[in-house]
Amino acid sequence: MADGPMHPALRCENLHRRFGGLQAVAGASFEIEPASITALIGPNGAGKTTIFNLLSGHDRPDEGRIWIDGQRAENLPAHRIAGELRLARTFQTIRLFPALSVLENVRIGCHSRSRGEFLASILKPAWVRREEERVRAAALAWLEFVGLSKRRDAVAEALSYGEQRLVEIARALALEPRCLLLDEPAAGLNPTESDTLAALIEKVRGRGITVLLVEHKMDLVMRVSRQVIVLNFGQVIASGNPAAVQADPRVIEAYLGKGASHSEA
Amino acid sequence: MRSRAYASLALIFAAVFAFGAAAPSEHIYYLQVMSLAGIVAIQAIGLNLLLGGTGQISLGQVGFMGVGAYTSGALLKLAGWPFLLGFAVAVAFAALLGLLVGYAALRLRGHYLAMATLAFGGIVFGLIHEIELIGGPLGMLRIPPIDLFGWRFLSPQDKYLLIWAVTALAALAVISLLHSRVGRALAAIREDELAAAAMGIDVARYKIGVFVIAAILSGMAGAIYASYLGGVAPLRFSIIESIALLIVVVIGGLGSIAGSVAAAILLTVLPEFLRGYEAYRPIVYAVALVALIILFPGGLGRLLQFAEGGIAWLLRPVRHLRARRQPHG
Amino acid sequence: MEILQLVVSGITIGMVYGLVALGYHLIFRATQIIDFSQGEKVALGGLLALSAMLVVGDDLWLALIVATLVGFAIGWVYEWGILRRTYGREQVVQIIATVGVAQIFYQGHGLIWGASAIPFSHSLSGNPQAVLELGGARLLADRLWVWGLVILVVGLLHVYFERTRHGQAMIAAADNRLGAQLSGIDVGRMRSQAVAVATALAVLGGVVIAPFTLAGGSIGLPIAVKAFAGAMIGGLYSPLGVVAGSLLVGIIESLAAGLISYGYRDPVAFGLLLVVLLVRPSGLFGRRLTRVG
Repeated sequence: MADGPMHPALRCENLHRRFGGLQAVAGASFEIEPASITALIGPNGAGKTTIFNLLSGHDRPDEGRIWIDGQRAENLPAHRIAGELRLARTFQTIRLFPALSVLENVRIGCHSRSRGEFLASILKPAWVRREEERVRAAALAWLEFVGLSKRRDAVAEALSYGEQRLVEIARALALEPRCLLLDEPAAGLNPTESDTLAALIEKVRGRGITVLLVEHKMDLVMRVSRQVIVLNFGQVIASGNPAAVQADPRVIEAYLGKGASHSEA
Repeated sequence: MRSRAYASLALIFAAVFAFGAAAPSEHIYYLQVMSLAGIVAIQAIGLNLLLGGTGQISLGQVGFMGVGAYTSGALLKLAGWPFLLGFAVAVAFAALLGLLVGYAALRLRGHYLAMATLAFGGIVFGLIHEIELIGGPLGMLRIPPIDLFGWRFLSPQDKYLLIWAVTALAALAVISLLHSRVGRALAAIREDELAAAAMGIDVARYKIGVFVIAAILSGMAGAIYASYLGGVAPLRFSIIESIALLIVVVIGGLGSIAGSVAAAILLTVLPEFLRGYEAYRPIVYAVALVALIILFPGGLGRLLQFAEGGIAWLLRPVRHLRARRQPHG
Repeated sequence: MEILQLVVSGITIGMVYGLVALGYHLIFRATQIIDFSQGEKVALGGLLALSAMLVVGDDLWLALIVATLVGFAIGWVYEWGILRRTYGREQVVQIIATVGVAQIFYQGHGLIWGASAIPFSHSLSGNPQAVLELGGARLLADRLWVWGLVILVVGLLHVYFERTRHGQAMIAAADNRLGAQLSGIDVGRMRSQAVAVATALAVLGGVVIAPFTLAGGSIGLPIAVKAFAGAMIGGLYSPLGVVAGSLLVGIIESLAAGLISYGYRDPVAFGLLLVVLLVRPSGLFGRRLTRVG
């Protein structure tokens, strides 16, 4: 892969998505560099989560194109985007498999990185048993990575909110993604947990994984991201490094309403 | 965890095979009752994989059994095919229908899937009731017996052992499947389909897959049943029988294979000890179904888990020894 | 004129499916549950009427009123005792519970009135053989009574829901539970009423169809499936739609019985349901999620 032409990790062009009378995404275009941390911000209803769903294949654009690692993705189903294009995600409201153990949750994340369909799963030849050992070890390693090894046998729904967030991230990392989408990972976390999360995001990027996050907590966004993309009414209104974006009058207007930028200028 | 799932199953099958091996000839009647319980158990294992494994419901499961029984019966009796060939074609046909129903089930869920599978079972029943070639309402008689490479299963004991060997294999296969990569994918689908897809799990493929396996098990049960009894009649394949199967699975506990086998035995054998109250049996089962699903959806499987807990506790010293020999516990 | 006769008898049974399907509509709208016991309530209807006549005398009209009221009460108890305990739980629990209740009804009336269907020689018009000539077609007077009665009931329900404050409140409560609660409507009571009325409708259907068939027996399951087919064709959310869809199912099944063979009546109607379910626009793929997360 390293020898080929350098592609953006993610690229979308002119994305549109309408729900009934609501134009949630209206011609959004952006590019994201490999192995970088990018934040997607904007007021409520700006289309951030919709864009995540379009990128992960959980929804399809009415119009527009998506490339993941240079490969067209807008018509692929979610499981192929996750399994083949190696794009993993978390959800705004945590979606763990609540009745399963923490370890099981993360092992399920290893699904596309392991083999063995119905017949092999029933007969369990030696190679399947080796796969199982490998998957178990990998899942434990990811739990270690997010710092939750102790909780591996707990039932997922019994964990605290912050711990559930971490399990969800560990489960996404178990896909060995090239790109990780985090949908409001800091929502509901206390300041200490937020700090841990920021460090974790840096650590993930350190592994060469591209991170794209939707986040409302500006201190976290400004601290970790190299690039910030601002959405409003389904369109990209600004993009650049955190400081530049923060100073952009269009951004201030979008967040504080019309007139705000004038009165401050 | 897995050793626990096998522990109660091992106990059940030990008892079943001990009974089969030891039963004196005056107990032929009970061998026959228990053989029919095995037929029910094979199907219950499949329905439990479907319902407990992925949360998909089927109210027409016995329809697949009807397809298996009539296909095999007709091929053996009318076309003179050898048992294994008729059996294989019958199971393949049931699997094909399972594929179609499973594919349709992707578009339907919950109440709609329940109603659609009910209609499927009703169509199978209606057709076998109407097609003259396979006996219409009277069914077929004189279906040749089970014959494996020249070994004919004629005595009640042989037939009993064969049926329960198939049941044991089916139970082991499904438990093995549940404790595997595919089993985890099924659990993920049952818990949250969207999150499962985000894990790279091909939801449609696995949902169809379990429908096919459930149909195969019912088809096998049907083909064996036809040759076991040497005859079939439509009434055994009515919707009421599909609901009776559902009762077995719910009483056994959703997701508990050992529970399904235990419930199949219990619900088939119990009436033999409650002679004189025969008329009340169906309504008692129906009341038990409603009460259990509302109050105690874990069913018999949960009780077995307590029993498994007890067995695991008794085996504790052994496991401690084993654990000490390995570097990590 | 054979086809016309088939259509006429199809309309009659379709009217009964319509009553059952209207019950599906009411219960679904109020509780989001498809009640699999709706069909068995029809079987119960004819039997309740027979027993009522032992008390009130040989008057089918009076028995019809008594049976319908008893049906209403049974529905109320059923909602309170069982259905209520499944609200908000997994659909599998709801399905198994109502399927179980269908079995309880079926086995219960088998125990009380016997497993086989009972001949039903009473007539709404007073004379089962009375025939009317309508433009060359001969029509049993009893059929006309069924048609009139069902149209009257559907009309009354329509007026109740569309024109009365109480009916409007019920619809509001069904469609927006939280909003209804905030505006002081008793949602629990609304659900009890919906299930009770749905049960009464199915029982009424059982009474009016009994003179043409038999009372009781194993008619419940096929009726449950066919009325559901009607409800699906009409769209579960439209009360007049489910009745129209049910009429269509009745006519199709009657034509299949007459033109192919009587025994293919059920397979054809059930196949119709499968087709309707599968071409329905809002399957897994039609209903793409609007928002994840």
